[in-house]
Amino acid sequence: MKSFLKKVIVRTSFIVMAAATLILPVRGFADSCLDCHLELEDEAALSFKVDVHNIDGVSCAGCHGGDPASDDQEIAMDSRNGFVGAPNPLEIPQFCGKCHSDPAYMRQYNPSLATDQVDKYWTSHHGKLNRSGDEKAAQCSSCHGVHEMRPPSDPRSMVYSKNVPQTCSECHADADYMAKYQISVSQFQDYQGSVHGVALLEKNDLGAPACNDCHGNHAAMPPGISSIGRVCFQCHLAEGELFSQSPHKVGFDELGVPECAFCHGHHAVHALTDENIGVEQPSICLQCHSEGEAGYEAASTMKNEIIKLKKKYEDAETLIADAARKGIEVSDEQFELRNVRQSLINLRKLIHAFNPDSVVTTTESAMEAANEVYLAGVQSTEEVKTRRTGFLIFSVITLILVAILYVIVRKKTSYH
Amino acid sequence: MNNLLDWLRDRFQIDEVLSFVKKKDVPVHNHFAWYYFGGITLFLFVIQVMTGILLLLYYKPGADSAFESVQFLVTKVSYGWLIRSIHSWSANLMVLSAFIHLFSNLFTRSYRKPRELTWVSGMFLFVLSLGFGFSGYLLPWNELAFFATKVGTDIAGALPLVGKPLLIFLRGGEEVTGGTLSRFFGFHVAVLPGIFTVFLAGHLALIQFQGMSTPLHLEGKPLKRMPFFPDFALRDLLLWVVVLNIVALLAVFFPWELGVKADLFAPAPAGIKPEWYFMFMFQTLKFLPAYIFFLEGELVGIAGFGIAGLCLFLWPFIDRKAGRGERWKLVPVLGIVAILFIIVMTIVGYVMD
Repeated sequence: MKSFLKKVIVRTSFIVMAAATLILPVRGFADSCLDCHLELEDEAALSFKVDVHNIDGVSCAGCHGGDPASDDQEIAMDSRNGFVGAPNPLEIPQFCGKCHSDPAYMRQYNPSLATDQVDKYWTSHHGKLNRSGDEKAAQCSSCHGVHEMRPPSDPRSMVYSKNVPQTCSECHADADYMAKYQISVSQFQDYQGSVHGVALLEKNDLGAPACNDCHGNHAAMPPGISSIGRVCFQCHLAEGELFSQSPHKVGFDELGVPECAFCHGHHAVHALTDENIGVEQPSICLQCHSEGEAGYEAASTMKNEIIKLKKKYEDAETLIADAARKGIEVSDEQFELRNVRQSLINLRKLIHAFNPDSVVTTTESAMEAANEVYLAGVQSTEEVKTRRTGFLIFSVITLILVAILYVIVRKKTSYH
Repeated sequence: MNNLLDWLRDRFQIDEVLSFVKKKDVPVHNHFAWYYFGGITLFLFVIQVMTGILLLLYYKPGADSAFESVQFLVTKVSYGWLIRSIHSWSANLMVLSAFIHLFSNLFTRSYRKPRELTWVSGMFLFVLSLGFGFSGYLLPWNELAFFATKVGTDIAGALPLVGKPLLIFLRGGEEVTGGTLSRFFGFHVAVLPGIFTVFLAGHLALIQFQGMSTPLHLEGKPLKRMPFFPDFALRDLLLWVVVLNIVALLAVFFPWELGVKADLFAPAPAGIKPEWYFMFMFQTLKFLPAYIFFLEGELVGIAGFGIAGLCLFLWPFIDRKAGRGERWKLVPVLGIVAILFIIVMTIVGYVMD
């Protein structure tokens, strides 16, 4: 019985496969959209070859509808066959959302891919403008491209983190394009010169934030004054915690001042130096605090503590470097010096608590370590002197010995 | 003094020794200065033995202790830095002095009959000195030495047939590990000194018995002669004091660096170099193409250096003319070409980093 069943299954499979082989070419399973558009050397078709959709098996019809199995243009591009053609910019979010908002459909391609992009988009400034009928407002294809979309992990993608600033700048740095919205167009230029921009664009540090890291992706919005701190604290966690407990947090909130951005700027975030705190120009503290105030005193104390440790660190570093150059083995001291440097970095971080007492306490313990390294540096310098003096004495002795030997040799040599 | 001599005379035949010493003399001529380099090499070797023994008091072989013990020695032990630095500088000067000694004897044909074995024993001593250098370089277990040893033993491992077993023998396994360090330590402080002492004793005995050779082109000419004791020995002593001062100067002003501890899992850092006296060979191997005809370029290079070394070993038996008092013009030509090759390739090795 089993053998009979087996025979039936095998033979039936064979017949079905043979029929499929004969019938399928006639039905034209090849993608007639691509066939024709490639023949026409249509740029969209040419670029679609590398598109992530095409690679994943979603053909032209997957977005534009129609019947790709038909070789007849009339049939293939007939609206009765679902053909929708190129969507209007205002329609694009829903157009893409047909698939991208459908978790069940998207699961087969990428189960981890979010499907809330369109929902988020409507909450963004771009989405709101789109809803209001503004065709210039950015939608999916403005940032992702049209027929040459690549995954964000692909360095050639428009939304690869290093390419994001350039992508955003296509609109946001275009004065004519943005004139209607009356917002600044200097963000890209400001960002390029900022610590974040230099890190990402010049040093290829992909951990550095691009536009979307602060503004969001699909729900892009300028962070409000109250949330600026939260945006920065995503990465600058320690500074965030210190600031949240500082007296500035309360004061800034009351005054409606943007937290981090008030001292550090926003798109043009520059590395601040020790000169930017304290009570001398160009200190930022002087923007709000004046002589006689507690804040003025606090700024002065914190600056002095930092400078005290910095000077001791630099002095120790000079001595240790000099000793190393002169051949003294100072690897232990170099290691300790790194600890002091770390303390100095921590001290600068501690400024964000705006608590002069904790700065003084931290400096005290760091100064102990710095002093030890400094003293080791002084000892190394002394050691170099001792070595060289020792060599000088040794040289004098050997010189005398050489002179005596020379005299003996000159006197005693007897040739024969 | 006389009492001591009488005391000795009663027990040993020292009169024979004294009369031998009195008779021993050195020919004086324009190339007299080259005679000093054998003595300088010997003096530097004595420094090596003495400082080496002192280093042994603190050195602890082993991947976990070698670097730390040398670091302790140069930072905490009184004059430890000086002893280590002198050992390193003196080692390098010893090899340099041995190079000069070798080539000066090649040009003056001192190897000719009856001094063939003096030359051969000297060649053994030279190769053993290079062995001392190669094995000693690894002992501080720092990054540069670790990778240089890796490259050096890789080259030995490239030899056909014997390469693999030789590599395993040198490294004590497939890779350079703490086992290699123990092995190199054993070579450096026991095996090589033992063999070296035998050849050194033979080399010195031959020189004492056969005396200094007169350069071939001056043979037969009337030359002044200087007594070896005390005249020549005093001059030797004078130079040794000068050399000691040079070693001290280098040790004080340019103490030998310790570097960074070797990390077996770290990628090779840039600028891996062998010791300078291996540089010309290393650089030549780097220049050779991957294949020369159907043979591997590296193998051809190793074979070339092997044949050249063997020829150098057996040179007294190749240049038979010298023994007959004839001057083979090829000798100075080959010598100069070899020196220029060594100098140029060494410089290129350092410049083309």
